[in-house]
Amino acid sequence: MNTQLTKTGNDTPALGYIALMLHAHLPFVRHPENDYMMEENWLFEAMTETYLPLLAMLENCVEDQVPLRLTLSLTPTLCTMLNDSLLQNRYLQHCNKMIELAEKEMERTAKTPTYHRTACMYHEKLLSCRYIFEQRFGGNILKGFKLLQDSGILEIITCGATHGYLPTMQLNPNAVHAQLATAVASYHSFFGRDPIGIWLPECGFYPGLEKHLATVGIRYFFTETHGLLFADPQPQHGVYAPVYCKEAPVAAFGRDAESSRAVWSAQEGYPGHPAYRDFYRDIGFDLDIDYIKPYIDPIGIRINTGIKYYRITGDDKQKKPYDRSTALRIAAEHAGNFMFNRETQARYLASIMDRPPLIVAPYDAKLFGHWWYEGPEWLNFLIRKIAFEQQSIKLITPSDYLHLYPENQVCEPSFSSWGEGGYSDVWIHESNDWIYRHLHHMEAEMVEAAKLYETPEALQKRTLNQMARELMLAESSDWAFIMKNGTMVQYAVRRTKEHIANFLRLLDDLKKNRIDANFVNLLESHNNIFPEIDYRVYA
Amino acid sequence: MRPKHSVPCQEHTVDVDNGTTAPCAESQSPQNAGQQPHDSIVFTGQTRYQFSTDIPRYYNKTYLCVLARNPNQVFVYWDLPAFFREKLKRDRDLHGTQLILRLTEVLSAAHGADYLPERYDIELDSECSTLHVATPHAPVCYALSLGITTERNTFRLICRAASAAGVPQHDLHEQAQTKEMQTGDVRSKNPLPYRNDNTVVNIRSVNEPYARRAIAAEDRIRPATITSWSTSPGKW
Repeated sequence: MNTQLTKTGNDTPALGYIALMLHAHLPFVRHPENDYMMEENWLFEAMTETYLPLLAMLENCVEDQVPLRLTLSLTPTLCTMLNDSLLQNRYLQHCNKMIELAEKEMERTAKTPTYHRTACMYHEKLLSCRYIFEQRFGGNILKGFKLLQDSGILEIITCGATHGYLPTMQLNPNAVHAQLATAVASYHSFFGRDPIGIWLPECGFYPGLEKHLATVGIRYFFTETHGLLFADPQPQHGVYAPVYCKEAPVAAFGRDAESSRAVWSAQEGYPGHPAYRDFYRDIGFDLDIDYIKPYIDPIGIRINTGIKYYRITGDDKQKKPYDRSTALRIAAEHAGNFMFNRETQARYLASIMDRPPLIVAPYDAKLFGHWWYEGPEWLNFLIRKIAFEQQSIKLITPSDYLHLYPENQVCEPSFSSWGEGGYSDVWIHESNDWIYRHLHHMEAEMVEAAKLYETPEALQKRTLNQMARELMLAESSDWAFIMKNGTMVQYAVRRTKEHIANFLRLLDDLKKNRIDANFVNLLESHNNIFPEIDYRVYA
Repeated sequence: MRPKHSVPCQEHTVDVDNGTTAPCAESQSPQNAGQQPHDSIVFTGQTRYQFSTDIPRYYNKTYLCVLARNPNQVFVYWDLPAFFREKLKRDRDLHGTQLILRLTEVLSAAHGADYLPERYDIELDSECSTLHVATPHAPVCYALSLGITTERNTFRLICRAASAAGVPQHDLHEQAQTKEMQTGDVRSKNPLPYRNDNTVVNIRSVNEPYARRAIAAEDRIRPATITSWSTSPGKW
């Protein structure tokens, strides 16, 4: 750790610290039964627009010797998909197809320089993505993130095994433990070490969760702002210093509302600036169907291609063409503004605190690049500006901060999440509440089975392990989130019901001692997450 | 479903397997029965195989579960064997038997010695199996039980929720009405307004107004009473 601190220039004290945290997550979407599945595009879009640009940006920072410490949560579901050869091959096909489309677009826009420049930009970016993906990392970009962690740039943390929303699981502590223990084991298999921190799925915390975190070796987690502000007792430093939980020696870091608002607020946030690229105008919807058909859903459903020519433009109905150089200039200005505001914030806080304040700024990674196209560039400017244009604040990771300031107040953070309303309204809603009857039933049955089958036969063991996979996949908070938000609802309902039905069939077969090996084989190859899972994690 | 304040009455346990009553016991775990309809899915491309989406609607056991949703609501679901539901329907018509969900405040150290915990009863339809209940106080814990009342107003317990629902502090809900907190969900650019639709049962006709507390920067970092400190137990 000390070596890393020296390397990144964090060994000299600062007036205040910023912990930038990016949460990278996608639900487990892998459909070998179909040659094409629209939902797999969630991964492909995120690869091209977020993960590969972030990786390239961080590698450039390393090359330019920019001192930097960043926290990144890579969820076990995302890691599994990034590591999966079927999805790697499909991404490469997708990337090649998009390169072909970008080439056609360069040709189509040859006589309109404004659009042609943008088409060239996409072409260049896609080529760069393919190069990094295929040539640099042989199709597995996890290697890139691992290298950055090993070189002391990144602190990669984990999440719940399948991003299960833990406050709804607290009725069955074994289910909570299984999500956490499986996540830790999965992290170890990908990164060759144990995680020291966790991004709780949906930032969902409930008092007592810290005991489970401590059991699996997690040393810190993040909470939404009010998780710390309503802690018992009220933390002396608010969200600007971590606290240790009452029930177990695990540190809680509270999210700073100001820095969150600056980046994400639809009203005040940077991404809404009229110079930035508009997300919604996409050639997948704009161009003639015969022209675009080879690049959208094979049955002709129009989808986003990622090629978009307009900027947000403001209140004008007529969108104006995107100008990359102007957008980058604004991104640099916004990075400077963000840094200035954090310096001011740190200066004020330092004047009334007995230690340098820590400003915790967690974001959904997909904001950078996917929703906010210039997000990776903004982050790049911010990192470099913090490194070279001022001296009062520094980037830090939570574990580095705890290393510098190991003495902290003991409090019990309150129940909270980062969802709308701050509690469980998103995941316990009239549109999705039907799932809990089934999830709780499955959890209880799984625990019972794990205790009952101490020395199972080989096929029984495989069945029990697959039951654990199906249960965890059904628990993904993404399905409830999608049902509540009203887009792609059919898919989320179908996935939830499939996992429940698979689990119940396996359980029934197990109880009746008539296991269908073909069914187990099929499920093992289809829902192949956590190959090393041990169902006894539920016992 | 008409909410009403409960009247103190003697508690018994109803044995749903034979309809007799017995002393109170803990609620049981869920199991299965019935079918839930599934949606039709449009597949794109060649589909080589497909998994079933047929799942039970109920698990045909006797239990009650509660989850805190926010400082104003708890979500409750329960299950009763099909024959027991049928019996309830008959008894309601013949004897005025009413299925009741009872919420009882759990006393904590924060309450004074002379504080009397409040109790609320919600009359339920025998077909109903989930409910979002608007709770009047926060932060507070509620113990929930499911039972029946007869014409003599005796509450007979069917089952209790295995754990109480801890409703969190209320202040944030007030803030959630402001734009500031609506930006908290980074995954939703257009957050929907807080919804209080007709599936929510208010157990008080008039909710008491709660004091708003703006959390200004100064407020956030104001000195608080510190009861204990700790150093990290290991080397970072």
